[in-house]
Amino acid sequence: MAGDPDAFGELFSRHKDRLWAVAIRTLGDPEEAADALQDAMISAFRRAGSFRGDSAVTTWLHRIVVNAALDRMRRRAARPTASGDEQLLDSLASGSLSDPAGSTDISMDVMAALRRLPPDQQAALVLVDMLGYPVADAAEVLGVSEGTVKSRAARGRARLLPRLTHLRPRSPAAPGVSARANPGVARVHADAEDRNRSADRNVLPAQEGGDDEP
Amino acid sequence: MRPRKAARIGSHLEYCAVCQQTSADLQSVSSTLASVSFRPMPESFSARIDAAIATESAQRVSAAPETEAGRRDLPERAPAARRTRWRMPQLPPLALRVAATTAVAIVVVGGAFELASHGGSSAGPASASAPAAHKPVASGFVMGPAVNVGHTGHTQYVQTVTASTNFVPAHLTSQVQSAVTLARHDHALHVSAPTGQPSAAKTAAGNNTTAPSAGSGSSAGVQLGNRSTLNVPGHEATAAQLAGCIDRVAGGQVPELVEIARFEGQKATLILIAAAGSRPASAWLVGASCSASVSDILYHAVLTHL
Repeated sequence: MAGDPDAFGELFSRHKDRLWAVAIRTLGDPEEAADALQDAMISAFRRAGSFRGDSAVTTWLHRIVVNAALDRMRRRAARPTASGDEQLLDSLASGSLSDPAGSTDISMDVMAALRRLPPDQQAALVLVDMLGYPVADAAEVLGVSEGTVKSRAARGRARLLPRLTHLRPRSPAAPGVSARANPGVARVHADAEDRNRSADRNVLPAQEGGDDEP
Repeated sequence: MRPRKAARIGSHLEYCAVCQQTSADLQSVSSTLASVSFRPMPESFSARIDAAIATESAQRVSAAPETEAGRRDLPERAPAARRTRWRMPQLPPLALRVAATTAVAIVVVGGAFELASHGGSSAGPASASAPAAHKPVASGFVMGPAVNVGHTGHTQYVQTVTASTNFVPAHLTSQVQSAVTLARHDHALHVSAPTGQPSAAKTAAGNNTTAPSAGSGSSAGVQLGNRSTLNVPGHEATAAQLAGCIDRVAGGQVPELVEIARFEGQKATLILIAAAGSRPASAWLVGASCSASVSDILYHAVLTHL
Protein backbone atom coordinates (compact mmCIF):
# COMPACT_ATOMS: atom_id res chain seq x y z
CA MET A 1 0.00 0.00 0.00
CA ALA A 2 1.49 3.26 -1.08
CA GLY A 3 0.14 5.48 1.64
CA ASP A 4 -1.12 5.41 5.16
CA PRO A 5 -4.91 5.60 4.80
CA ASP A 6 -5.36 7.37 8.11
CA ALA A 7 -2.76 9.98 7.30
CA PHE A 8 -4.14 10.38 3.83
CA GLY A 9 -7.65 10.81 5.14
CA GLU A 10 -6.42 13.56 7.38
CA LEU A 11 -4.55 15.12 4.49
CA PHE A 12 -7.74 15.16 2.49
CA SER A 13 -9.64 16.69 5.39
CA ARG A 14 -7.13 19.49 5.63
CA HIS A 15 -7.15 20.36 1.95
CA LYS A 16 -10.59 19.40 0.80
CA ASP A 17 -12.05 22.89 0.90
CA ARG A 18 -9.40 24.34 -1.38
CA LEU A 19 -9.39 21.32 -3.64
CA TRP A 20 -13.16 21.47 -3.88
CA ALA A 21 -12.91 25.15 -4.76
CA VAL A 22 -10.68 24.27 -7.68
CA ALA A 23 -12.83 21.40 -8.88
CA ILE A 24 -16.18 23.16 -8.66
CA ARG A 25 -14.91 26.30 -10.37
CA THR A 26 -13.31 24.32 -13.12
CA LEU A 27 -16.23 22.03 -13.79
CA GLY A 28 -19.21 23.99 -12.54
CA ASP A 29 -21.31 20.95 -11.83
CA PRO A 30 -21.10 19.73 -8.23
CA GLU A 31 -21.58 16.06 -9.03
CA GLU A 32 -18.93 16.17 -11.68
CA ALA A 33 -16.63 18.14 -9.41
CA ALA A 34 -17.10 15.54 -6.68
CA ASP A 35 -16.35 12.76 -9.14
CA ALA A 36 -13.22 14.54 -10.30
CA LEU A 37 -12.11 15.16 -6.75
CA GLN A 38 -12.71 11.53 -5.86
CA ASP A 39 -10.75 10.34 -8.88
CA ALA A 40 -7.97 12.72 -7.94
CA MET A 41 -7.82 11.58 -4.33
CA ILE A 42 -7.73 7.93 -5.29
CA SER A 43 -4.99 8.70 -7.77
CA ALA A 44 -3.08 10.64 -5.15
CA PHE A 45 -3.49 7.83 -2.64
CA ARG A 46 -2.12 5.34 -5.12
CA ARG A 47 0.80 7.57 -5.97
CA ALA A 48 1.55 8.72 -2.44
CA GLY A 49 4.42 6.31 -2.20
CA SER A 50 6.15 7.97 -5.11
CA PHE A 51 5.74 11.48 -3.79
CA ARG A 52 9.26 12.73 -3.23
CA GLY A 53 8.60 16.13 -1.80
CA ASP A 54 9.85 18.00 -4.84
CA SER A 55 6.87 20.27 -4.40
CA ALA A 56 4.63 21.06 -1.49
CA VAL A 57 1.94 18.52 -0.75
CA THR A 58 -0.65 21.19 -1.41
CA THR A 59 0.74 21.88 -4.84
CA TRP A 60 0.94 18.19 -5.60
CA LEU A 61 -2.68 17.62 -4.63
CA HIS A 62 -3.81 20.67 -6.57
CA ARG A 63 -2.02 19.44 -9.64
CA ILE A 64 -3.74 16.08 -9.46
CA VAL A 65 -7.14 17.70 -8.96
CA VAL A 66 -6.62 20.13 -11.83
CA ASN A 67 -5.55 17.33 -14.12
CA ALA A 68 -8.56 15.24 -13.14
CA ALA A 69 -10.84 18.20 -13.81
CA LEU A 70 -9.18 18.95 -17.13
CA ASP A 71 -9.56 15.33 -18.16
CA ARG A 72 -13.26 15.56 -17.45
CA MET A 73 -13.56 18.82 -19.31
CA ARG A 74 -11.91 17.34 -22.34
CA ARG A 75 -14.12 14.28 -22.22
CA ARG A 76 -17.12 16.54 -21.85
CA ALA A 77 -16.02 18.55 -24.84
CA ALA A 78 -15.94 15.38 -26.88
CA ARG A 79 -19.40 14.45 -25.69
CA PRO A 80 -21.87 16.92 -27.13
CA THR A 81 -24.96 15.55 -25.41
CA ALA A 82 -25.06 17.75 -22.36
CA SER A 83 -24.48 21.41 -22.96
CA GLY A 84 -22.68 23.60 -20.49
CA ASP A 85 -25.83 25.62 -20.04
CA GLU A 86 -27.79 22.52 -19.09
CA GLN A 87 -25.20 21.61 -16.52
CA LEU A 88 -25.24 25.11 -15.16
CA LEU A 89 -28.97 24.86 -14.76
CA ASP A 90 -28.36 21.67 -12.84
CA SER A 91 -25.90 23.56 -10.67
CA LEU A 92 -28.48 26.21 -10.02
CA ALA A 93 -31.12 23.64 -9.22
CA SER A 94 -28.78 21.86 -6.84
CA GLY A 95 -28.00 25.12 -5.09
CA SER A 96 -24.27 24.73 -5.57
CA LEU A 97 -23.78 28.28 -6.65
CA SER A 98 -23.51 30.50 -3.64
CA ASP A 99 -25.73 33.52 -3.82
CA PRO A 100 -24.89 35.76 -0.94
CA ALA A 101 -26.05 38.90 -2.67
CA GLY A 102 -28.49 37.69 -5.25
CA SER A 103 -25.69 37.22 -7.74
CA THR A 104 -26.62 33.80 -9.02
CA ASP A 105 -27.45 35.11 -12.46
CA ILE A 106 -24.07 36.76 -12.69
CA SER A 107 -22.34 33.62 -11.53
CA MET A 108 -24.19 31.55 -14.08
CA ASP A 109 -23.29 33.93 -16.85
CA VAL A 110 -19.67 33.89 -15.81
CA MET A 111 -19.54 30.12 -15.60
CA ALA A 112 -21.28 29.75 -18.94
CA ALA A 113 -18.76 32.07 -20.55
CA LEU A 114 -15.88 30.32 -18.83
CA ARG A 115 -16.99 26.98 -20.17
CA ARG A 116 -16.54 28.20 -23.71
CA LEU A 117 -12.83 28.69 -23.20
CA PRO A 118 -10.21 26.09 -23.95
CA PRO A 119 -9.53 23.97 -20.85
CA ASP A 120 -6.02 25.29 -20.39
CA GLN A 121 -7.24 28.88 -20.32
CA GLN A 122 -10.04 27.96 -17.96
CA ALA A 123 -7.61 26.34 -15.57
CA ALA A 124 -5.34 29.38 -15.58
CA LEU A 125 -8.24 31.73 -14.92
CA VAL A 126 -9.67 29.54 -12.18
CA LEU A 127 -6.40 29.49 -10.30
CA VAL A 128 -5.25 33.05 -10.89
CA ASP A 129 -8.40 35.12 -11.13
CA MET A 130 -11.08 33.12 -9.38
CA LEU A 131 -8.98 31.75 -6.54
CA GLY A 132 -6.31 34.43 -6.43
CA TYR A 133 -3.31 32.13 -6.56
CA PRO A 134 -0.02 33.82 -7.40
CA VAL A 135 1.04 33.18 -10.96
CA ALA A 136 4.10 31.30 -9.73
CA ASP A 137 1.93 28.92 -7.71
CA ALA A 138 -0.48 28.44 -10.59
CA ALA A 139 2.44 27.69 -12.87
CA GLU A 140 3.69 25.04 -10.50
CA VAL A 141 0.25 23.49 -10.21
CA LEU A 142 -0.24 23.47 -13.96
CA GLY A 143 3.29 22.37 -14.67
CA VAL A 144 4.02 25.20 -17.08
CA SER A 145 6.06 28.37 -16.99
CA GLU A 146 4.80 31.55 -15.39
CA GLY A 147 4.78 33.17 -18.81
CA THR A 148 2.49 30.48 -20.11
CA VAL A 149 0.11 30.98 -17.22
CA LYS A 150 0.05 34.72 -17.88
CA SER A 151 -0.49 34.13 -21.55
CA ARG A 152 -3.30 31.68 -21.02
CA ALA A 153 -4.96 33.91 -18.47
CA ALA A 154 -4.67 36.96 -20.69
CA ARG A 155 -6.08 35.17 -23.69
CA GLY A 156 -8.85 33.78 -21.57
CA ARG A 157 -9.75 37.24 -20.25
CA ALA A 158 -9.73 38.60 -23.76
CA ARG A 159 -12.11 35.91 -24.88
CA LEU A 160 -14.35 36.45 -21.91
CA LEU A 161 -14.48 40.21 -22.31
CA PRO A 162 -17.15 40.40 -25.00
CA ARG A 163 -19.18 37.74 -23.28
CA LEU A 164 -19.21 39.51 -19.98
CA THR A 165 -19.72 43.03 -21.21
CA HIS A 166 -23.21 43.16 -19.79
CA LEU A 167 -21.89 42.31 -16.35
CA ARG A 168 -19.21 44.95 -16.18
CA PRO A 169 -19.86 47.59 -13.58
CA ARG A 170 -20.16 51.06 -14.98
CA SER A 171 -16.68 52.12 -14.07
CA PRO A 172 -15.63 55.63 -14.77
CA ALA A 173 -14.12 55.82 -18.16
CA ALA A 174 -10.51 56.49 -18.54
CA PRO A 175 -9.72 60.22 -18.58
CA GLY A 176 -11.14 61.76 -21.67
CA VAL A 177 -12.74 58.53 -22.77
CA SER A 178 -16.33 57.59 -23.23
CA ALA A 179 -18.03 55.25 -25.60
CA ARG A 180 -19.92 58.11 -27.07
CA ALA A 181 -16.85 60.21 -27.57
CA ASN A 182 -14.82 57.24 -28.63
CA PRO A 183 -16.81 54.86 -30.71
CA GLY A 184 -13.71 52.79 -30.89
CA VAL A 185 -14.32 51.54 -27.36
CA ALA A 186 -17.62 50.00 -28.30
CA ARG A 187 -16.10 48.71 -31.45
CA VAL A 188 -13.36 47.01 -29.46
CA HIS A 189 -15.97 45.04 -27.55
CA ALA A 190 -18.10 44.29 -30.55
CA ASP A 191 -15.20 43.13 -32.56
CA ALA A 192 -13.42 41.27 -29.83
CA GLU A 193 -15.28 38.03 -30.18
CA ASP A 194 -14.72 37.93 -33.89
CA ARG A 195 -11.06 38.53 -33.35
CA ASN A 196 -10.96 35.84 -30.70
CA ARG A 197 -12.48 33.38 -33.07
CA SER A 198 -10.00 34.14 -35.74
CA ALA A 199 -6.72 34.91 -34.14
CA ASP A 200 -7.04 35.58 -30.42
CA ARG A 201 -3.79 37.47 -30.52
CA ASN A 202 -4.58 41.09 -30.66
CA VAL A 203 -5.96 41.97 -27.26
CA LEU A 204 -3.16 42.59 -24.83
CA PRO A 205 -1.75 39.15 -24.22
CA ALA A 206 1.68 40.62 -24.66
CA GLN A 207 0.99 43.03 -21.82
CA GLU A 208 0.77 40.06 -19.50
CA GLY A 209 4.23 39.05 -20.48
CA GLY A 210 3.13 35.66 -21.66
CA ASP A 211 3.91 35.48 -25.31
CA ASP A 212 5.49 32.10 -25.22
CA GLU A 213 2.39 30.31 -26.37
CA PRO A 214 0.79 30.69 -29.76
CA MET B 1 8.03 41.20 -20.28
CA ARG B 2 11.19 42.97 -21.10
CA PRO B 3 11.56 46.41 -19.52
CA ARG B 4 11.77 48.15 -22.86
CA LYS B 5 8.60 46.50 -24.06
CA ALA B 6 6.81 47.30 -20.82
CA ALA B 7 7.91 50.91 -21.03
CA ARG B 8 6.73 51.17 -24.61
CA ILE B 9 3.33 49.75 -23.75
CA GLY B 10 3.10 51.97 -20.68
CA SER B 11 3.80 55.07 -22.62
CA HIS B 12 1.27 54.03 -25.25
CA LEU B 13 -1.40 53.56 -22.61
CA GLU B 14 -0.77 57.05 -21.31
CA TYR B 15 -2.18 58.64 -24.39
CA CYS B 16 -4.30 55.91 -26.00
CA ALA B 17 -7.77 56.19 -24.53
CA VAL B 18 -9.07 53.10 -26.31
CA CYS B 19 -6.31 50.93 -24.93
CA GLN B 20 -6.83 52.40 -21.46
CA GLN B 21 -10.45 51.41 -21.61
CA THR B 22 -9.65 47.96 -22.91
CA SER B 23 -7.10 47.46 -20.19
CA ALA B 24 -9.62 48.51 -17.57
CA ASP B 25 -12.21 46.19 -19.08
CA LEU B 26 -9.84 43.27 -18.96
CA GLN B 27 -9.11 43.99 -15.34
CA SER B 28 -12.82 44.01 -14.68
CA VAL B 29 -13.02 40.51 -16.13
CA SER B 30 -10.67 39.37 -13.37
CA SER B 31 -12.84 41.08 -10.79
CA THR B 32 -15.95 39.48 -12.19
CA LEU B 33 -14.36 36.04 -12.12
CA ALA B 34 -13.27 36.57 -8.54
CA SER B 35 -16.81 37.48 -7.54
CA VAL B 36 -18.20 34.05 -8.42
CA SER B 37 -18.69 31.99 -5.32
CA PHE B 38 -19.80 28.45 -4.70
CA ARG B 39 -21.11 26.72 -1.66
CA PRO B 40 -18.66 24.59 0.29
CA MET B 41 -18.39 20.93 -0.49
CA PRO B 42 -21.45 19.09 0.81
CA GLU B 43 -20.71 16.75 3.66
CA SER B 44 -22.15 13.87 1.68
CA PHE B 45 -19.52 14.37 -1.01
CA SER B 46 -16.78 14.51 1.58
CA ALA B 47 -18.02 11.31 3.19
CA ARG B 48 -18.21 9.68 -0.22
CA ILE B 49 -14.59 10.49 -0.95
CA ASP B 50 -13.52 9.34 2.50
CA ALA B 51 -15.28 6.07 1.84
CA ALA B 52 -13.59 5.76 -1.55
CA ILE B 53 -10.20 6.24 0.05
CA ALA B 54 -11.03 3.63 2.69
CA THR B 55 -12.20 1.22 0.02
CA GLU B 56 -9.10 1.81 -2.03
CA SER B 57 -6.97 1.16 1.03
CA ALA B 58 -8.79 -2.08 1.76
CA GLN B 59 -8.53 -3.20 -1.82
CA ARG B 60 -4.84 -2.56 -1.93
CA VAL B 61 -4.26 -4.56 1.22
CA SER B 62 -6.27 -7.44 -0.13
CA ALA B 63 -4.73 -7.28 -3.57
CA ALA B 64 -1.23 -7.60 -2.20
CA PRO B 65 -1.34 -10.53 0.19
CA GLU B 66 2.30 -11.33 -0.41
CA THR B 67 3.41 -8.21 1.32
CA GLU B 68 3.90 -8.15 5.01
CA ALA B 69 1.04 -5.73 5.47
CA GLY B 70 -1.32 -8.02 3.65
CA ARG B 71 -0.49 -11.19 5.49
CA ARG B 72 -2.81 -12.02 8.31
CA ASP B 73 -0.61 -14.76 9.66
CA LEU B 74 2.15 -12.36 10.53
CA PRO B 75 2.21 -10.50 13.80
CA GLU B 76 1.31 -6.90 13.59
CA ARG B 77 4.22 -4.57 13.24
CA ALA B 78 5.01 -2.10 15.92
CA PRO B 79 3.32 1.25 15.32
CA ALA B 80 6.61 3.07 14.96
CA ALA B 81 7.66 0.80 12.15
CA ARG B 82 4.40 0.91 10.30
CA ARG B 83 4.51 4.51 9.14
CA THR B 84 7.69 4.43 7.20
CA ARG B 85 6.65 4.79 3.60
CA TRP B 86 5.00 8.11 3.54
CA ARG B 87 4.29 10.79 6.05
CA MET B 88 2.35 13.94 6.01
CA PRO B 89 4.61 16.89 6.54
CA GLN B 90 3.89 19.64 9.02
CA LEU B 91 0.82 18.13 10.59
CA PRO B 92 0.06 18.44 14.27
CA PRO B 93 -0.05 15.17 16.14
CA LEU B 94 -3.67 15.48 17.07
CA ALA B 95 -5.93 13.93 14.47
CA LEU B 96 -9.05 15.74 13.46
CA ARG B 97 -12.01 14.69 15.48
CA VAL B 98 -15.06 15.83 13.65
CA ALA B 99 -18.43 15.07 15.16
CA ALA B 100 -20.05 12.01 13.65
CA THR B 101 -22.85 12.99 11.40
CA THR B 102 -25.22 10.24 12.30
CA ALA B 103 -24.11 8.73 15.54
CA VAL B 104 -26.57 8.81 18.37
CA ALA B 105 -25.61 6.57 21.24
CA ILE B 106 -22.03 6.22 22.31
CA VAL B 107 -20.64 3.75 24.80
CA VAL B 108 -16.91 3.28 25.05
CA VAL B 109 -15.05 0.66 27.02
CA GLY B 110 -11.72 -1.02 26.44
CA GLY B 111 -10.54 -4.17 24.72
CA ALA B 112 -9.39 -5.66 21.46
CA PHE B 113 -9.91 -8.62 19.17
CA GLU B 114 -7.56 -10.19 16.76
CA LEU B 115 -8.34 -13.13 14.62
CA ALA B 116 -5.43 -15.42 14.00
CA SER B 117 -5.32 -18.74 12.27
CA HIS B 118 -3.13 -21.66 13.22
CA GLY B 119 -3.61 -23.99 10.33
CA GLY B 120 -2.34 -27.45 9.81
CA SER B 121 -4.27 -29.63 12.15
CA SER B 122 -7.34 -31.38 11.00
CA ALA B 123 -10.49 -30.78 12.92
CA GLY B 124 -12.81 -33.47 11.77
CA PRO B 125 -15.66 -32.99 9.38
CA ALA B 126 -15.68 -29.26 9.77
CA SER B 127 -12.28 -29.02 8.18
CA ALA B 128 -13.56 -30.24 4.85
CA SER B 129 -16.34 -27.79 4.71
CA ALA B 130 -14.99 -24.62 6.19
CA PRO B 131 -16.30 -21.83 4.02
CA ALA B 132 -13.24 -19.99 2.92
CA ALA B 133 -11.88 -19.19 6.31
CA HIS B 134 -9.09 -16.63 5.88
CA LYS B 135 -9.33 -16.89 2.16
CA PRO B 136 -8.40 -13.72 0.31
CA VAL B 137 -11.21 -12.51 -1.89
CA ALA B 138 -11.14 -10.42 -5.00
CA SER B 139 -11.03 -7.17 -3.17
CA GLY B 140 -11.18 -5.63 0.24
CA PHE B 141 -11.45 -8.46 2.69
CA VAL B 142 -9.86 -11.62 3.89
CA MET B 143 -12.50 -14.09 4.86
CA GLY B 144 -12.75 -15.06 8.48
CA PRO B 145 -14.60 -17.97 10.00
CA ALA B 146 -18.27 -18.56 9.44
CA VAL B 147 -19.78 -18.16 12.86
CA ASN B 148 -22.93 -19.94 13.91
CA VAL B 149 -25.01 -17.47 15.83
CA GLY B 150 -28.43 -17.60 17.33
CA HIS B 151 -30.16 -19.91 19.72
CA THR B 152 -30.84 -23.58 19.46
CA GLY B 153 -33.29 -24.21 16.72
CA HIS B 154 -32.77 -20.81 15.14
CA THR B 155 -29.11 -20.60 14.31
CA GLN B 156 -27.58 -19.01 11.28
CA TYR B 157 -24.10 -18.88 9.91
CA VAL B 158 -22.48 -15.51 9.56
CA GLN B 159 -19.44 -15.19 7.37
CA THR B 160 -16.99 -12.92 9.14
CA VAL B 161 -14.34 -10.96 7.34
CA THR B 162 -11.09 -9.37 8.38
CA ALA B 163 -9.89 -6.07 7.04
CA SER B 164 -7.44 -3.33 7.82
CA THR B 165 -10.13 -0.72 8.30
CA ASN B 166 -9.52 1.59 11.22
CA PHE B 167 -12.99 2.74 12.16
CA VAL B 168 -13.20 6.17 13.69
CA PRO B 169 -16.31 7.92 14.97
CA ALA B 170 -16.01 10.86 12.61
CA HIS B 171 -16.14 8.68 9.52
CA LEU B 172 -18.00 5.70 10.83
CA THR B 173 -20.99 6.03 8.54
CA SER B 174 -18.94 6.26 5.39
CA GLN B 175 -16.57 3.54 6.53
CA VAL B 176 -19.41 1.17 7.33
CA GLN B 177 -21.12 2.02 4.06
CA SER B 178 -17.91 1.26 2.24
CA ALA B 179 -17.43 -2.01 4.08
CA VAL B 180 -20.98 -3.12 3.33
CA THR B 181 -20.63 -2.20 -0.31
CA LEU B 182 -17.40 -4.09 -0.57
CA ALA B 183 -18.78 -7.09 1.26
CA ARG B 184 -21.85 -7.19 -0.97
CA HIS B 185 -19.60 -6.95 -3.97
CA ASP B 186 -17.61 -9.88 -2.69
CA HIS B 187 -20.71 -11.80 -1.60
CA ALA B 188 -19.16 -11.90 1.81
CA LEU B 189 -22.23 -11.17 3.86
CA HIS B 190 -23.91 -13.60 6.12
CA VAL B 191 -25.31 -16.88 5.00
CA SER B 192 -27.90 -18.76 6.90
CA ALA B 193 -28.70 -22.36 7.57
CA PRO B 194 -31.13 -24.01 9.93
CA THR B 195 -29.59 -25.71 12.91
CA GLY B 196 -28.81 -29.33 12.50
CA GLN B 197 -29.17 -29.28 8.74
CA PRO B 198 -26.29 -29.38 6.33
CA SER B 199 -26.34 -26.11 4.51
CA ALA B 200 -24.80 -24.48 1.53
CA ALA B 201 -22.67 -21.58 2.51
CA LYS B 202 -21.67 -19.50 -0.42
CA THR B 203 -18.17 -18.25 -0.07
CA ALA B 204 -16.83 -15.02 -1.36
CA ALA B 205 -15.12 -16.87 -4.13
CA GLY B 206 -18.44 -18.14 -5.31
CA ASN B 207 -17.97 -21.74 -4.26
CA ASN B 208 -20.68 -23.65 -2.52
CA THR B 209 -19.41 -25.58 0.43
CA THR B 210 -21.32 -27.73 2.79
CA ALA B 211 -21.62 -26.44 6.28
CA PRO B 212 -21.81 -28.92 9.09
CA SER B 213 -24.24 -28.79 11.89
CA ALA B 214 -21.69 -27.07 13.99
CA GLY B 215 -22.86 -25.86 17.30
CA SER B 216 -25.87 -28.05 17.33
CA GLY B 217 -27.45 -27.87 20.71
CA SER B 218 -25.37 -24.94 21.77
CA SER B 219 -26.15 -21.31 21.58
CA ALA B 220 -23.25 -20.53 19.31
CA GLY B 221 -20.69 -22.38 17.31
CA VAL B 222 -17.92 -21.82 14.84
CA GLN B 223 -17.50 -23.41 11.48
CA LEU B 224 -13.80 -23.81 11.02
CA GLY B 225 -11.42 -26.20 9.44
CA ASN B 226 -8.52 -25.19 11.57
CA ARG B 227 -7.94 -23.89 15.02
CA SER B 228 -8.97 -20.34 14.51
CA THR B 229 -8.62 -18.33 17.63
CA LEU B 230 -9.18 -14.82 18.75
CA ASN B 231 -5.85 -13.60 19.92
CA VAL B 232 -5.50 -11.00 22.60
CA PRO B 233 -2.22 -10.27 24.33
CA GLY B 234 -2.06 -12.63 27.25
CA HIS B 235 -5.25 -14.29 26.35
CA GLU B 236 -6.60 -16.64 23.73
CA ALA B 237 -10.24 -17.17 23.19
CA THR B 238 -11.83 -19.49 20.73
CA ALA B 239 -13.80 -18.06 17.88
CA ALA B 240 -16.89 -19.39 19.61
CA GLN B 241 -16.40 -16.42 21.88
CA LEU B 242 -17.09 -14.18 18.92
CA ALA B 243 -20.29 -16.03 18.21
CA GLY B 244 -21.36 -15.56 21.80
CA CYS B 245 -20.41 -11.92 21.60
CA ILE B 246 -22.51 -11.45 18.47
CA ASP B 247 -25.46 -13.09 20.13
CA ARG B 248 -25.11 -10.90 23.17
CA VAL B 249 -24.58 -7.62 21.39
CA ALA B 250 -27.02 -8.17 18.54
CA GLY B 251 -29.70 -9.48 20.83
CA GLY B 252 -30.50 -12.43 18.63
CA GLN B 253 -30.57 -10.46 15.40
CA VAL B 254 -28.43 -11.72 12.57
CA PRO B 255 -25.74 -9.18 11.67
CA GLU B 256 -25.43 -8.00 8.13
CA LEU B 257 -21.69 -7.73 8.52
CA VAL B 258 -19.11 -8.86 11.05
CA GLU B 259 -15.75 -7.36 10.27
CA ILE B 260 -12.68 -7.94 12.37
CA ALA B 261 -10.79 -4.72 12.03
CA ARG B 262 -9.71 -1.81 14.22
CA PHE B 263 -11.33 1.01 16.09
CA GLU B 264 -9.30 4.13 16.73
CA GLY B 265 -6.13 2.15 16.29
CA GLN B 266 -6.95 -0.80 18.51
CA LYS B 267 -8.20 -4.13 17.40
CA ALA B 268 -11.94 -4.37 17.36
CA THR B 269 -14.80 -6.13 15.66
CA LEU B 270 -17.61 -4.38 13.86
CA ILE B 271 -21.03 -5.92 14.23
CA LEU B 272 -23.53 -4.31 11.91
CA ILE B 273 -27.25 -4.87 12.22
CA ALA B 274 -29.05 -3.77 9.07
CA ALA B 275 -31.99 -1.42 9.13
CA ALA B 276 -35.36 -3.09 9.20
CA GLY B 277 -38.67 -1.32 8.87
CA SER B 278 -38.55 1.84 10.90
CA ARG B 279 -35.54 0.63 12.87
CA PRO B 280 -32.30 2.19 11.63
CA ALA B 281 -29.08 0.28 11.20
CA SER B 282 -26.84 -0.09 14.22
CA ALA B 283 -23.12 -0.55 14.37
CA TRP B 284 -21.28 -1.91 17.37
CA LEU B 285 -17.55 -1.99 17.73
CA VAL B 286 -16.56 -4.45 20.39
CA GLY B 287 -13.28 -5.26 22.04
CA ALA B 288 -11.51 -8.52 22.75
CA SER B 289 -13.34 -9.31 25.93
CA CYS B 290 -16.69 -9.42 24.26
CA SER B 291 -18.33 -12.77 24.76
CA ALA B 292 -21.64 -14.34 25.57
CA SER B 293 -21.35 -12.92 29.08
CA VAL B 294 -19.41 -9.65 28.55
CA SER B 295 -20.33 -6.97 26.04
CA ASP B 296 -17.07 -4.96 25.92
CA ILE B 297 -18.63 -2.38 23.62
CA LEU B 298 -16.14 0.19 22.42
CA TYR B 299 -18.58 2.22 20.39
CA HIS B 300 -22.16 2.09 19.31
CA ALA B 301 -23.76 4.21 16.64
CA VAL B 302 -27.19 4.29 15.12
CA LEU B 303 -26.70 4.84 11.41
CA THR B 304 -29.80 6.54 10.16
CA HIS B 305 -28.46 7.05 6.64
CA LEU B 306 -27.25 3.57 5.99
